[in-house]
Amino acid sequence: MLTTFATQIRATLRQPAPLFWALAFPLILATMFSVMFGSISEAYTLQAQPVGVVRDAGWEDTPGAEALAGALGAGDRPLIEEVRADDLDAALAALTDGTAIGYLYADDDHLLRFAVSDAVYGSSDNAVALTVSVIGHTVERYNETAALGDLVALEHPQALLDEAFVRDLGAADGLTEETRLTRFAPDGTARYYYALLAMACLMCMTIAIGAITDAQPNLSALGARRNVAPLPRHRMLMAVFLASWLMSFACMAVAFLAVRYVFGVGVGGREPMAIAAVAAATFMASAFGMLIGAIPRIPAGTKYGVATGITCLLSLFAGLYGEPAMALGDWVQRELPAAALANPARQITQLFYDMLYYDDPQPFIRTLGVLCAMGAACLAGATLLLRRQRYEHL
Amino acid sequence: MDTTLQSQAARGQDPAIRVRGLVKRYGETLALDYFDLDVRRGEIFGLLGPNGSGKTTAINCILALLTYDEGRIDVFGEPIGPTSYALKRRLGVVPQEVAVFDELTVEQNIDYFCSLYVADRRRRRKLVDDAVAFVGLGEYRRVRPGKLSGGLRRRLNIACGIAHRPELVFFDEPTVAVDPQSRNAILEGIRSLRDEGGTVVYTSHYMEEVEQVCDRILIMDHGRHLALGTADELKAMIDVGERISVESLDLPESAVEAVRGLPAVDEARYDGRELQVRCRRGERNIADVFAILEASGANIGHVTSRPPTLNDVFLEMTGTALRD
Repeated sequence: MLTTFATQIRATLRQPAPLFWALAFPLILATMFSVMFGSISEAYTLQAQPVGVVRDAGWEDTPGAEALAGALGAGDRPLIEEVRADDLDAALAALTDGTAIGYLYADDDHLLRFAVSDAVYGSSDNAVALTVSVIGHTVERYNETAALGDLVALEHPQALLDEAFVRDLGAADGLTEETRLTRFAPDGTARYYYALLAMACLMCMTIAIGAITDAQPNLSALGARRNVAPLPRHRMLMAVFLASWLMSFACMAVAFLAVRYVFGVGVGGREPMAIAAVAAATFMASAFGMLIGAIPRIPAGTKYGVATGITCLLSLFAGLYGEPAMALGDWVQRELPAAALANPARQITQLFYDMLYYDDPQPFIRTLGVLCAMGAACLAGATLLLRRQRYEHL
Repeated sequence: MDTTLQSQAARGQDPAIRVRGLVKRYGETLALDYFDLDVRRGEIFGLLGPNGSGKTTAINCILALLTYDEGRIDVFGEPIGPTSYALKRRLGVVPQEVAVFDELTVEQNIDYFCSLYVADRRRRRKLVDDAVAFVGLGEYRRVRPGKLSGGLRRRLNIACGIAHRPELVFFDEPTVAVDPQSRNAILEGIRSLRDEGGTVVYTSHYMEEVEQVCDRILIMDHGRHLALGTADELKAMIDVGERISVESLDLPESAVEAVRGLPAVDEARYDGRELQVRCRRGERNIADVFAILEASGANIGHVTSRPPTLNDVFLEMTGTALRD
């Protein structure tokens, strides 16, 4: 049994097709995701924009204006790259020739204003829109604080003698509070990686299909020859299954580690649990492959096709194919929970959500149990199919 | 190969295989029809029959790969079944199709199939070396089967079947699509297995091979035992003697009629280029035929006379040629 196990592993290691689907495919797709999502993420970051600052007499007479402009252009994440303008005409000229996307100036009422070019409104550059929005809100908040200060000075001047009151006057601390219902902030891109891992796990079915084809007397000449030998059939099948599972697990573990550490997709600091998840997922996939592989009178090529088709279909509901697929998967989860429960791809992605979002390990254990039960059911089905199969040839 | 097979074969007096009243049905099709078989120890036994005659079914029943509906199969005096592991350990199979791992090298393949029978790695190493030498694949030990020629792949197929030194080996059409050099090497190897005390069951479409290598031959058709004996015994069972062919482009019809009139001639056919004469068993007529042709004044080219073959035997018994 041990030599059959070792031989099966050695043979699988030299088969390019299963290794491609189990190892190369998730790595290639993860790389594509990384490039794709990297661009999207970059598009939604704050980027310092060229903004004119009109330093005329009005600006000089507006208290705090210079401090605000300095603050906007300083720090780890500056919002503006100052374009110097001595007056409004110079600022408008900068807007016209494109050296600035907007300008800051003080009006006659000593209120700060932020004007932007028409081009900014029509721009599809998300980084520009986001940064302009933040600058606009900052200027607005400055004006509100200045107005509040004027009001306090008018009606309760003694309050301005209180240093603590003055310090808190324009402070935004505590005005908003971030509340998190899950252990980690939801990461929209992580879903794709989890769905990808689920799909790759299911593609590992092909390893088991190939292995069972080579071990069954009615499926291949090699299987017939092996069954003439004095090795009990259940031990042969056990060795073949364990070898397929181990190979699938090894490939998927490498794929997971790449997703985790190369592409930086987190699992909530629960990497050992993630390895257990990969083990359960590949167990289920190998058992599913055994079940498909055990079907008599169907050529191995057709079985590979069936396995690929099933994988692609189930991955749709795991959300691999984009936002609409995710919405569809979520709808199935809400409206047809039994169908979602029976979808191994969905359950594999669920394992990763359980790790990432729940403090309690119970959901993870429950999903793990569902996958193991699916695997056991597939193994039982495969055993029933294989039990009475012999070499049938005339 | 050493002489351990001889000592193994000497144990007991039971035949290597005894099959009685074997019936195997595939739905409505009767594949084996109360089939009987006896294979003695230490012989090369030929199983001859056309496609669909039941040869492979019979072998697969004996190997416990197939269940059967009626009958009894004993191997070395014991009934064989799927869990007869002790008996299976004494058997070897060389299937018709090359059945090896394409991903493993020649040496790894032989070692794997040997490991299914022999657990001890040290002993196995020696057996693998012997098997590699036996089939002459020494320089291809680390080559994968995909890189071997058809003949060399067949040799590997054989090595995988005999490496564990079985007492009884089944060769199912081992020389299909094999070059003459490899074919001769394979036949020589089969003979040496027998000479070392092993028993061989050999099936083939090639009657010349069967005649050349087998000690006894069973002819079967439609799942039935038709005839059994040595090649000479089988030929003696039919009333067919020598076959004479004469090349001639101007043979008169009167000469053909005269040949047909000879007392030992069964049949004479002339197609305008060649005269074919079939004679009855035990009679030699070439001198009489030649005399008639000379007297007719026809120009005579190449003349041949050959004794009856197994194909003639098969034709006589089944009404069809073996390769039809």
